Amino acid sequence: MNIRLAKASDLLGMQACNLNNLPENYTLPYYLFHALTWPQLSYVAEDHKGRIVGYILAKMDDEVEEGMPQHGHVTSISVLRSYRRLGIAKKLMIQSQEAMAGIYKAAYVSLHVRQSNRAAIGLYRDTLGFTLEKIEAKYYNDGEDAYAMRLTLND
Amino acid sequence: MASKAQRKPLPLKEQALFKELLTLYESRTLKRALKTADQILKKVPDHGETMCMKGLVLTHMNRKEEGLELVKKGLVYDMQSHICWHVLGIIKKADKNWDEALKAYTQAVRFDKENMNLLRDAAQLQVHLRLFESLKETRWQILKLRPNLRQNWVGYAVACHLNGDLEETKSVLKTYFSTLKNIPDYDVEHSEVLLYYLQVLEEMGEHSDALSQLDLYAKERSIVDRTAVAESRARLLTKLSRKEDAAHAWRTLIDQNPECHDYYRGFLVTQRVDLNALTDETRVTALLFFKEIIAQLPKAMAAQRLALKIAKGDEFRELIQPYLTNGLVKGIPSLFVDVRALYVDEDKRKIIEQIMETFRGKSEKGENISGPFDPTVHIWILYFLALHYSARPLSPDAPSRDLARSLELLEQAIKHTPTLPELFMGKARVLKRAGDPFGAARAMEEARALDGQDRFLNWKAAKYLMRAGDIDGAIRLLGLFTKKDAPSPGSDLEDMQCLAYMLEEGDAHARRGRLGLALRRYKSVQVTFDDVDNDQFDFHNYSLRRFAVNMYLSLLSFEKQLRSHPAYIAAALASSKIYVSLHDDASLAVSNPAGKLSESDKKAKKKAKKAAQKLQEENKKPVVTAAGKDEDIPEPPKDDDPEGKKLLTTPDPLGDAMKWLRPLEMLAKDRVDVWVAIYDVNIRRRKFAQALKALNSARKLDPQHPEVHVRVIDYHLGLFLSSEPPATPLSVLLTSSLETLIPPGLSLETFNNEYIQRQTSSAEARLAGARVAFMLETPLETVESLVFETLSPEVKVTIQTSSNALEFLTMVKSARFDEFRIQASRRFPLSNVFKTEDEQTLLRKTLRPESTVVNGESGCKETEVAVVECIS
Repeated sequence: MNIRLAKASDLLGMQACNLNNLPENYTLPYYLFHALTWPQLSYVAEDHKGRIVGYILAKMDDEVEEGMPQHGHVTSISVLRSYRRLGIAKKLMIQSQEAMAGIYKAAYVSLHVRQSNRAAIGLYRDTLGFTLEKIEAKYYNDGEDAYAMRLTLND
Repeated sequence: MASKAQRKPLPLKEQALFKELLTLYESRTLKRALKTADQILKKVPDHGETMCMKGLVLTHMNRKEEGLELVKKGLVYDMQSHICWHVLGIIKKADKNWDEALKAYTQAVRFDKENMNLLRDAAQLQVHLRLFESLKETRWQILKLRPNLRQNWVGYAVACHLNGDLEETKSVLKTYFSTLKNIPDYDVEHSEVLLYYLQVLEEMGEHSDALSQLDLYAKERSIVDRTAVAESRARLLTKLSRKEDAAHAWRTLIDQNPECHDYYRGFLVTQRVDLNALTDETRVTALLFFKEIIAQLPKAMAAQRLALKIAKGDEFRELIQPYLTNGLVKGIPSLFVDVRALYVDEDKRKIIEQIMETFRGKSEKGENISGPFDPTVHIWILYFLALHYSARPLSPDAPSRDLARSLELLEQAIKHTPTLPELFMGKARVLKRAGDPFGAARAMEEARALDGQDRFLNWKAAKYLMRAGDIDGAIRLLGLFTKKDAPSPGSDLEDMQCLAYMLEEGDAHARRGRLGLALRRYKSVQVTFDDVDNDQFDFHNYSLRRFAVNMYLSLLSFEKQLRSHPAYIAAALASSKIYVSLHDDASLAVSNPAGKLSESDKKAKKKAKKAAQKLQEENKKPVVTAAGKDEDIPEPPKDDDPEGKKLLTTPDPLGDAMKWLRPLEMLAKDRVDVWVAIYDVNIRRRKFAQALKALNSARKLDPQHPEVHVRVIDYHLGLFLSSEPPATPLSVLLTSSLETLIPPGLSLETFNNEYIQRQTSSAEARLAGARVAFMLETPLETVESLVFETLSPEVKVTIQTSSNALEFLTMVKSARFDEFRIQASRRFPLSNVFKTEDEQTLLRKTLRPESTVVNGESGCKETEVAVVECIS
């Protein structure tokens, strides 16, 4: 397993990995937008054949009100089922968090998760230390609620 | 001249109206814009600029052709107006016709040299078309006109860089830095430009300068990206041969991210160790280093894994035992796939097998392998061994795989824990390898049913159904995770650019002879790559505005290589194969229009038809909105060929094939199959020289390749039997080329026999020999016996090759078809791909017993998940 900063040539692999794992999908320009706006925040995990088996796609929140702290946001994170239990998600998250705090002075990092996705909620809460901030009703296209979670960063 | 006459200014009132027209267009108030344009034209009917603007407005109102006609007419009236050319440029750009757009913009700039918008758009088109010289000129103009804008400096520097002019890039950036005043603290954008500057210095080999600048920037904290600083520092120190400092820098990076392989490699380079070319001495150094890291960072998986790769003998045994134990105790599903790459070394494979069999012996007796006895560890041991025995050998000394044994182990594990999806996935994989796509699909469905919320399992199950020929069933499954409001699951997956889906379904249609639908799915792959190619357009200017220069350069090099992506290559090869068969047998397009339409396709068709009707009705309604602002009228749905009929009945199948293959001549030079495909198309287009070039490229890569052997003969026959031989002197050249392919004086038959004799144990080579014999009009019995020899006990044969052999026997109308089928069945006892069509159809039906109801809401049952969670 090799964990490193995402390059432009990784974006198609990240997209394929995302389609394999999650119901929330994006076309390539959205990945490009992340990479070219916050080039330091997205990371990938690749296997020995160079295939992307996990990724974190992350950004900074652009719409911070005056006086409020900067914060990062995880747009999407996932690891192929066959590569779970290696702690990859946590390792990806840590790299991204450090960049958010170090480069952009992020005070915390936020994310959304489907309230039915217990596996992911478990990962965010138990493994990564996120806490539930609030429930955003009908956040997803199909009407499902999202848990808005966050993790305070100290740098 | 009309244009000269019209350079007269408009009357005052019309001038005001024209300004209003521009504003109305910019705010997309199209109806009013149209009215205003008509008002002007009523008074001045031949005003070119107004005609062009009106044309532009029309193109936004679904009246594209009419609009474009008007623009062209307007241009004739006023060839010297930058507005007229600009309008044409905008329309061409919207069509993604970048060449034409740039031509128009270049004209527009001629008549308005200092128009920033025009210059910026022109630069965007130039970089998109990789016209770096003219890009540099344009960027220079922009910088000259607006040196106060930071991005213009960076834009010019990047243009110089792309033009290969590093010296100038450096000096532009230096000048730029000297003009900067009051840079705010923690300016990420500035930090990125500094990193870019360092990158340029590094590329120029000015490592020492780069390092001192880097240290300065880091000290004053003007570069805020600490990881980038540390990486850059480590690289530069290494290049400057400052070994101790470099080693220290890499070591610090390892602490920050112990899973990054580059950091380990970087460190080892400072110790004169090249991981790819180890000597006995450096192997010792490297191993010592990895052991040290493992002691300090016990969680660093990368160090453990890299150590396994280089260790040998007892040392390997010492390292692999705890590695396997850890993986089994944690229940890491990828453990086997992870260590599998080590099997290229047969000694390592044997050691792993020994250890794992010892583990199995222990855990079967209820003994622990580590810590207190845990029954789930026993399951993971069985799972590992099952995959181990079913894997294709990676070393010539390895024993061949034992699929029956694998299945036995998996059944044992499943009996013990029937709720672990991985076990069923393993079973599916083994059955697939055994040539039983139906059993494989059923097993994968069992895995999926155990965790219906997991999209990964959903995709696998769908994929296995496709492989077993149940496309409808696969689509229904996929629909559990696609958007409910999409016309069909497939269209959502296409919208989301799911290349794996497009390929898999294309292949499934191709296997069942639905060539139109196959081409249609592959076409989506092509469209996706075109889209990704076009996607970069918006980012040329955006990246500069955001100053993300290094990432932008990585985007440009990625896009350059874009079509070397495996999905593109696979779709290109599959499409061109179909196009070639359409060329050879035009009746395929008629007798097999699009295969049968599947249920979901029918539904999708209905939905699309409805949507189109609705849209038409809506378009008829007058658009009235409160602000009097009418929005862009959306175009009707684009898919005018859902079944691929148009693709199938193309007048020029070979031309279409070449469109797929052309980018690969540059991007996939190292692939024999690509060159063979290019050969196949060119020889049929009677482009002998190009066919020969492709053939020689393939021969250079692998002269003994069976497909190459067939083409050598094909070329020879093609050249001699050609009814209209190529014109001399080309023909002289081509004929002399034959001597390099086949030694003079050697008959083709002898050439073929010698080829087979050289590789008697290769079924692929023997089958190629049979194909060639058929081409040489050898009696059918001889050809048949050559085919049957692929099944001799001493020949290594795969299921794929036997399937190809069977296909070949069909083609030559062999009476021994069934005999071969039955023999192949015996050779692969677990397979059913050699059963009759009818038998296979029956098997396919078993994939969807009435009881399997796909649950739309939640395929996952609470209790089962809970069980899985605690067991796995």
